[in-house]
Amino acid sequence: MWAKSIPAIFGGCLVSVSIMLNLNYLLPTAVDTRLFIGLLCAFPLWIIMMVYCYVSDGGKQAWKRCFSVLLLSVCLNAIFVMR
Amino acid sequence: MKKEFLKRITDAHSWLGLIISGLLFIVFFAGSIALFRAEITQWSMQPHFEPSRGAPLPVSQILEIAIKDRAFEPKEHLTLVKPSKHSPYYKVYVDVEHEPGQEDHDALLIDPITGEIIASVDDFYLANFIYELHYDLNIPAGSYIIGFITLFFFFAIISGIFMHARKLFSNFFKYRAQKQKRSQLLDMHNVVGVMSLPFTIMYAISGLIFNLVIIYQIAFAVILYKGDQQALLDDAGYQAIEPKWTNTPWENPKVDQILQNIKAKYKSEPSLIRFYNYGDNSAVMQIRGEIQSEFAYRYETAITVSNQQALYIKDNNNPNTLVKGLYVISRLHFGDYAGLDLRILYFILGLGVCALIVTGNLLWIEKRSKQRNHSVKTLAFVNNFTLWSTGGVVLATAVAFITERVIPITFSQRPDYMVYSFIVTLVIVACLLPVNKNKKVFLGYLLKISGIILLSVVILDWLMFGFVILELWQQEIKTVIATEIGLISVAGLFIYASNKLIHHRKKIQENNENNENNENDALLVSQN
Repeated sequence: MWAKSIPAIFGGCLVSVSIMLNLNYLLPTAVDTRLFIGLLCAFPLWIIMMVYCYVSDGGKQAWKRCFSVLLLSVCLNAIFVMR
Repeated sequence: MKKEFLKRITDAHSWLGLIISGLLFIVFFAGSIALFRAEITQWSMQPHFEPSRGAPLPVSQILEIAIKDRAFEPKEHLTLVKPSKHSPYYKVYVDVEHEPGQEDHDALLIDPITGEIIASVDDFYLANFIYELHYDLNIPAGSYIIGFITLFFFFAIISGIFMHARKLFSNFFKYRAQKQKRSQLLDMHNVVGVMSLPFTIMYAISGLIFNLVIIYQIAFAVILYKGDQQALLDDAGYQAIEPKWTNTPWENPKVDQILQNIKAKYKSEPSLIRFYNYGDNSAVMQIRGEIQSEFAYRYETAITVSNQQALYIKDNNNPNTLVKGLYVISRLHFGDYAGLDLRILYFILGLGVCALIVTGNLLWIEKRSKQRNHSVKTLAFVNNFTLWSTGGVVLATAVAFITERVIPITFSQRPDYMVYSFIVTLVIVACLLPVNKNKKVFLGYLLKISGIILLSVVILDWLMFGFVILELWQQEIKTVIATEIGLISVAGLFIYASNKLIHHRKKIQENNENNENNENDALLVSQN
């Protein structure tokens, strides 16, 4: 279980931070509203990733799942940062 | 849903649930009590001081009383919390000159009518101790530990929904009282879990926001704001107040008039006033208040004392979604947006979650004990740990209540001894655990002793302060008696539960003995 817990905690955290940044770039609202929506979504996103990790076959697959979502989200962030 | 998915999610649910159970019980038990921390503080404090009668002194005078003969550091803060229904004295926090490692402020309780400094805020620490236990366990970095406990709790809720999804409605009120022990425990776990679901989700999300927001704050400050933390805080509605010290004393400061103007504008008394550069021409007053007639309406402003110019205003005309949203979340979390009845409901739900945690652990023990390859040591540890973190914490809290009542206020280390009594009780319970074979009966005795202690607190109250309590009642100050009613109710609940636990076990023992006697008789008859 520890093998899945580490990606669930750390991978899940990274993914939720990255998707929160995506939301911040994408949402067409005032900055304070964006921050609040991001904060409300952040922890449920983390939990979704935890569920995704814990239902994996093992730690390796859990890390793979985290990195695949993270890659997509980071690419999207990179586009916004470079624009 | 696939079988494998359910199996894995169930394993994770029980594994994580077991790991966090002890601390989660403390969080919910202490949090349920902390819902009434204003009342507990008044119960603890009020009988020591007879309430004065007359017109209250102006704030400016209270401030001068607070800093008189004190090493006040005016370049820091001077903070004043105004009296309220359950806190009838001014609380003034004076930042003082100090060496590294020393206390940086004095916290004073000042009578609003006589202006007498009656005690230190920290002298009546019980309610705050329980509250701090709820959110940071009273240890360094405790808030982050509790944050992660809350994260796993949130995961346990969501995984529990997946596990129970198909039977969420059909088994809503299912409780098989006559069936075997495991079915009873499982039904209790499910029923309490489903019924308290909106409440637990709200607590999990709000608790996470309070304790782990720092993770997102750092990420945002680094990536979105290029390391400019203050720019992020500005957008989030947290303005920094940093007036420059001019070294020119203020002239004729109109502190009371400023407060009158604010009161007239919002038709509500400011609840908190904080001074920056008090006594200097650059002094700024930060004022905060709440409008009780509306849900989650708070105003905050900063005004220069010399020319009464507003540096910023945050109210419904100048809203910040994040500030307002977080305030809504905090009011939902603390349950202080309605009357006492709502907090009683929160309290019952909080205790319900405590039962959810205990039944979860017992289910794990039941399941594990039936497995062939189970480890006896692991089972004994989980048994003892569950007992210690539940019954032990309940007893330690009851002991803290009685210590708070019996130690005289003239005793300078009063709060320290109250904390020691809590810790020592936990240690004693931990030492007694391995020698007790029957855990259920031991839990029963822990609850019984806790109940008796709480009843003793009420008896001591009347022996020590009977006349004062009656006088307070005549002056419409009913909190002390109301808190005593609460203590009696909880004591009754503990004693009832303990009787059930102890007698149930005795019945089983008697049945076993009867069965053994019958078997022996039958053996003798057959031999004859």
